[in-house]
Amino acid sequence: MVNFIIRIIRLFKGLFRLMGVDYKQLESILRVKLTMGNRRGFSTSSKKKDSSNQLLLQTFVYAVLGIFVGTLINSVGHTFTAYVYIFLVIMSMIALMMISEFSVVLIDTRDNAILLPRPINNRTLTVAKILHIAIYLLQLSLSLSIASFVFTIFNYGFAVALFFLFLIFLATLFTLFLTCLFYLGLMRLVNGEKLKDILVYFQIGMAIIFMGAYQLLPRLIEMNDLYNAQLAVEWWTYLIPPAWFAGSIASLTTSVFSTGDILFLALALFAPILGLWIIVKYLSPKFNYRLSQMEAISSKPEKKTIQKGKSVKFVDKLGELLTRNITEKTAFKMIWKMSGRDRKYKQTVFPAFGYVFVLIAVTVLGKHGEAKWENLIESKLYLLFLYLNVMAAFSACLNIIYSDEPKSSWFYKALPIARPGDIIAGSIKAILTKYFAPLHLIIGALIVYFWSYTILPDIFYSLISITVISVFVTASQSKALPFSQEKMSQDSGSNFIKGILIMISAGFLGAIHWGLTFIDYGVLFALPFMFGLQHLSFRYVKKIQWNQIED
Amino acid sequence: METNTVISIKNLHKAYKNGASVNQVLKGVDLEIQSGQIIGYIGPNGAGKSTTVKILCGILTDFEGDIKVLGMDLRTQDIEIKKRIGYIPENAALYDTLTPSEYLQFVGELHGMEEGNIRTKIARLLDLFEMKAHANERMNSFSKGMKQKILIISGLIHNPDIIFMDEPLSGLDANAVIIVKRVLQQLAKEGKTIFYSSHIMDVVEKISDRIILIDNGVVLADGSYADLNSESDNESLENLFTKLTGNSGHSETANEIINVFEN
Repeated sequence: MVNFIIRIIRLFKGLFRLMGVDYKQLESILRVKLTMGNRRGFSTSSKKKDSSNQLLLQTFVYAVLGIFVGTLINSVGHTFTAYVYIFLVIMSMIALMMISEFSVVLIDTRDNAILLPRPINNRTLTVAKILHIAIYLLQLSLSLSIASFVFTIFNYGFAVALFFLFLIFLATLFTLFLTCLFYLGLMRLVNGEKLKDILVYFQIGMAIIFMGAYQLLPRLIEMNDLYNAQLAVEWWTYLIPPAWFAGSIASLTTSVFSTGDILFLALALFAPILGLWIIVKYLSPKFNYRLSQMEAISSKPEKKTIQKGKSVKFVDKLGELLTRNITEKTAFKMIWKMSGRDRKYKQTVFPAFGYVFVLIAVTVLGKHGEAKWENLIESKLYLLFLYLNVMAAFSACLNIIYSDEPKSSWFYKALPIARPGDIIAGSIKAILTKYFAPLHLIIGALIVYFWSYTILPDIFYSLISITVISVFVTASQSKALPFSQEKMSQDSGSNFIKGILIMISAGFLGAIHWGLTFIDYGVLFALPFMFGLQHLSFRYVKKIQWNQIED
Repeated sequence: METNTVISIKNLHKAYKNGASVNQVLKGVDLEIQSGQIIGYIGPNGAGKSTTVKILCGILTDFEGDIKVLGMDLRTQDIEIKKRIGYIPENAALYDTLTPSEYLQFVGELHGMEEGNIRTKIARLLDLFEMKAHANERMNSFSKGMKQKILIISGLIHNPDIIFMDEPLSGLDANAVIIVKRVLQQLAKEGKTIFYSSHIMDVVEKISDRIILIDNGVVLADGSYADLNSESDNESLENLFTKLTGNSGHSETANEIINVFEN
């Protein structure tokens, strides 16, 4: 794949030289950057040479996603409207993917030490960076639009389809311009570390939006309404970039060119070119400058003093209340703080919290997007809502062992800790108290609001029963100390197992709980029994010895 | 051997702006550096050492003052300058998903070296630095010392006239440290200039022809170790450093620390 892309770039060698670019250097930089991109996301300990082909894999995934986008051509009757949707989806997806997936590639401060001291002229560096991003974006947008391209051939012929591809190219350029503006704006406002924090929240948001859109949109959109949807062209339509491209293609399909259509066409052609010119001339040098400053500023961080205020005292009190010995309490406090500051942990775990609510919404909305409250209130669906939270609990507990810097966990073994089980127990307690319990109480509050306060025992029972199963599953899945393991992407096999485990456990617990609701005061009577089980589960964890701990 | 001025810095100022706050890091540095010298550039954390090196290598471009490297103006002839300098950064900044061969090939290409020459040099240098067995392994599994060796090779592969080094020996094993020190001394004998920024006083003391002490953005002392020594009643570089940077009282601090531990 890398060689293929380089060969295409080589076709424009003359053009680059005309632009004042050192072509040999440009090719070297691109080859290295693409090779690194190709290896990104795979095991860091792999010593095999070029074992991965991430770019090809991504292309395939986006092409499959693109099929859903392409079907819009036939499911929306009005051509202009259909293409507005298509361009809107493709442009927003590539912009969001740029921010969430490729920010690591874009904001690579290693470039400062590796590329800047080398004899590379500014133009070569600028073109190399823009081309590198543009290649990713084009790869994304082209694979997303393959299906739309095929549908366009069937509906409007090959010529229109080719024009569509050309427009996709222009739309990609324009998105690149908008993304650059976004990054520069953000870099003006915040420094290196904060920028990384913000980008993590973007990734979390993206994951929830994708899951939400995938689950909810088909339920909310009535196919007939979609087919009859027709966007009217108002003055402000000319301010919406997807409309420029859609307008251009729609006029070509009808071969009618009104003044409005010509305006769309002009905007579609010239705005991206103007955008590219602004990027090359102003934004990219500014971006490079900000990047070179970023490392220097981040390496001189402002002192972040954590005030030992009320929240710290609250954690101390909670720790005292929920733990049994000093090791456990220390682990509780440490993991409480670290889990809130570790970007990788938040990035993996927080989306699951959002999914819980998405799934609740899916269940409430039913098949056709109409919530049937009367039926809902009479049902025992609240049990499903409560047990969906198993997802959040498992995600929070099972991910606590992973870290980007597992080597930093050396100190556990250096300290005179008799039973590592105390640390694991303390960390599970912290994670469940900090993330799972509040989420469960929010869901519980909603249930009490819609159903009745008589559900309260069920809420507490489910809280305890999910805690018990989380503790058992966490301790039996991997006996490792918090933040001590490296996460490998080859672990997808075990992720699948984890998924199955979540479903089986949630189903099993829910079924028992459901059974109890048929017995008078069943849940209330079972509560002490569950407390007993919870006590036993933590005792089981605390008994974990050093020889059982994974390195 | 004829010596001539290879670096000339006049009234160098540099500030970092972060939002509304401005951090003035360099406050008027003046230096003249001759060829064939090993310059030990020392100072406490945040003194402005790395910033000076980054400016001289063309990484940070917005500075005030005049800088000439190898007789060329840094602002207008940076590409020509960069062809003749080498930079070995402080933290192992490498594209570590690449293998050493791939990375060094890349660096050689950026310097416009001929492909056959790059390959021969890579093979020889990796062998001499005892890295031959790891030539085709991805560097993300390397130790800090192994990465540092690759950084040193990447900074020297194009045979630069001036070599800028920011803590180049960190993480290296004892043998590698001895080899690198000898390499630097030999290069200086051949007329190359080495600008060596470090915290490790005894290495600086042993290999430097000239020591420049910077603190709080200004040069506090400049001269050979012998000169500095005679001016300050034959004190060690470490004591001199302490005295000039106004950080005396280390013994008192150490005693207090012990007190805290023991109570």
